[in-house]
Amino acid sequence: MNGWKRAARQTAIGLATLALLAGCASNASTNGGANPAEGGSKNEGAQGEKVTITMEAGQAMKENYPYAFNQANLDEFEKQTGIKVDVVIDPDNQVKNVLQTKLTTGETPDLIVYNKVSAENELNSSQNMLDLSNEPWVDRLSNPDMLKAPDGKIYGFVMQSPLDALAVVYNKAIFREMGLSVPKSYDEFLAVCDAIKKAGITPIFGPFKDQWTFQIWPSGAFGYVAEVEKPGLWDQINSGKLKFADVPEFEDILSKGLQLIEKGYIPKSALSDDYNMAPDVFSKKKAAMMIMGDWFITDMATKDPSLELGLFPIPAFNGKELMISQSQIGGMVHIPKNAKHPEEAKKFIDFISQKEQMDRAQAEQPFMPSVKDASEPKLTPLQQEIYDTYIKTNKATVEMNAFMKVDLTELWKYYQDMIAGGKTPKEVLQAWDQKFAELMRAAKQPGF
Amino acid sequence: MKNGIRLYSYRLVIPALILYCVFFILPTITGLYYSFTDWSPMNDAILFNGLDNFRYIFQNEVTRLAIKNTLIYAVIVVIFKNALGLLLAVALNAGLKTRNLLRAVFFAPSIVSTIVIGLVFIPILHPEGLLNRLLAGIGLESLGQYWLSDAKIVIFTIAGVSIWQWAGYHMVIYLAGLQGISNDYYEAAKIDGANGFKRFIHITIPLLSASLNINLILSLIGGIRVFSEVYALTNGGPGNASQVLSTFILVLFGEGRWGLGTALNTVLFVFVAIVAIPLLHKMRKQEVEV
Repeated sequence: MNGWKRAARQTAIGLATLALLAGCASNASTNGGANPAEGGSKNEGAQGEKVTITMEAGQAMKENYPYAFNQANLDEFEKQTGIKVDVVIDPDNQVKNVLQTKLTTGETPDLIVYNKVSAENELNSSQNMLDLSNEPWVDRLSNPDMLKAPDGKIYGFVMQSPLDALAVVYNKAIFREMGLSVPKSYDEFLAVCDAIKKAGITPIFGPFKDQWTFQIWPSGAFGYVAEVEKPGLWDQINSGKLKFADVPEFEDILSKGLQLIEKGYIPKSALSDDYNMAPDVFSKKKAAMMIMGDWFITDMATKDPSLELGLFPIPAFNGKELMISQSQIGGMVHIPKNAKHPEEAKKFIDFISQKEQMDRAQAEQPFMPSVKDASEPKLTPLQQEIYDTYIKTNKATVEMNAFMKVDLTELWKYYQDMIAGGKTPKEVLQAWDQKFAELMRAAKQPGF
Repeated sequence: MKNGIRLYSYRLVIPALILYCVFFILPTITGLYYSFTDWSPMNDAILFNGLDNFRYIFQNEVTRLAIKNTLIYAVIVVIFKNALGLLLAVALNAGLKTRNLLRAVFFAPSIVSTIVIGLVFIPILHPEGLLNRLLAGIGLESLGQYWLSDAKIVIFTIAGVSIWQWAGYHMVIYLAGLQGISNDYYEAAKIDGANGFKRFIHITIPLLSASLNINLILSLIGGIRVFSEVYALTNGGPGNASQVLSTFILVLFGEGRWGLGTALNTVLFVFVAIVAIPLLHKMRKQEVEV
């Protein structure tokens, strides 16, 4: 009898524990929020009722490429098709891990907005994303090659043609007051820095605590070398035939960047400064320049409209025509192979590629449309300047990062090491050659 | 056990045991398995690659630096958290009027999230931040440092912040121990002519051994597994100068080298076990002797 009672009591405890666990589980699925329409949605969809598709991206993606996230477009899409688009935003420092995990476990969103080359390297587009090469909008692209992955297929859509510029951002007012003109070579750049330093202003603000900042200097200039002077360079490097350390121009470019710190034009505290400090530094006119890009000027236009900022190409060379540098295609909308509603997702991409939606998104923030039949944009003065001065005149090259098949964070850390005095430019390139080979091997690239 | 107390059956541990197995033992074992593979999002199949991961770990410059940093950090943190904690406990066990307030003040940092502490300390430790200005203000400008960007001192800075945060926590455990020591011992020793220092060494320390042991073990394991302090303050930077094992595991996972990351996790696990188990064993023995 006693034994029975005891057994019953234990069973009850066991059941209670299970119930507790089950409670957790059901809570998690309702509170998760990422896929509110999960479960029953497939059937409902078949009956012509409301389907919800999810679009996932990192925070910076939505800020830098807001076009695909345009709320008016999302609302219009829901009104026309009855399909609701749920936008899920991940923190920037986790978005890569979150999406990698989701793709591996098959619990994917229906749309992923990610930079093109980054997606190829980090999310393995060719394996994890649907091939969209035969979608109706491909024929309407003004430059379809721009969207092609190395295997020749198109794994995503972007609304905008690149209009960005990695460059030196400068305070026009300071330049005017001191009678300085925009430098056309490295030597002129040093002279400008020297004059500004003598006036008691920090010539260049270097937010190098953030790993992605110093790399703009070498990445842009490396891209120039590969595109203008040594065509085929990236192919040779990516096939293991040439090493970074074997390109003398690379070492020279790094040395020139390092010299800016050694000469005191970039303060020694640079490794403690981060990008978030830049608006304050520029507002208070504590610094005159920063190696950055057009987005900082756009950002500052709202934060401090009194500030007059401009940009000029990264002056890492003497005696050459300088060009601005452009980054990889950003904000590409992909559809994972394991998406729950691939057809609805395709419908969405086709929808945003249409003229009406392109024009509607222009109202929020102007951009150069990627399809031929959209209206001419009303560009901001800065965008117009970039387009007229550099893009129309073919004075734009694509930065190194756009051609890389592996994650570059480790290289950026070597740059920090170099700035801290731990590595020479040559050692940076040698260490990177070793790491690069390792990563390329891990990514199963031939030649390594 | 005829008339003894009726104990509950051991079967009652089953629910807890199931949870422990599913959420701890199972992941540990699968982790062990994956550390011998080339698991990665880039590979279609997970292949066994023997000791390759471990060979890489012990040959790679950064992992070696991470192991060195972890050891430096653990040693410093164990010594100072305990020394300061004990000192504070002894001081605040005396009949100070403000002792309750002071206890709360010293304990407070340990209830704040480490991420918040990181965000607060980054500007304080900036070359033109509060700490360096304070030093300059009292004429010690020469002691000013690039606290978080000088590769040579960054790991010590992080250890310092961690000591600041956790010394009060260890203080509380010591305080509890101190309050369990009967005053009679001290009185007897006083009559025998022992001075304050001798009383501390011969009465306080031995009778505190239980608190001492738990504090040493906690700070040591915490020190070896350190993650959030480094992540919040420098994220392993500048370059890789303050990389520790846990942050480097995250880096490897971020690079998509999941097999390698798991292998490093296994190394960390073995590391903690090797250091902690004999220590725990030895300390238990000591406790019994006392």
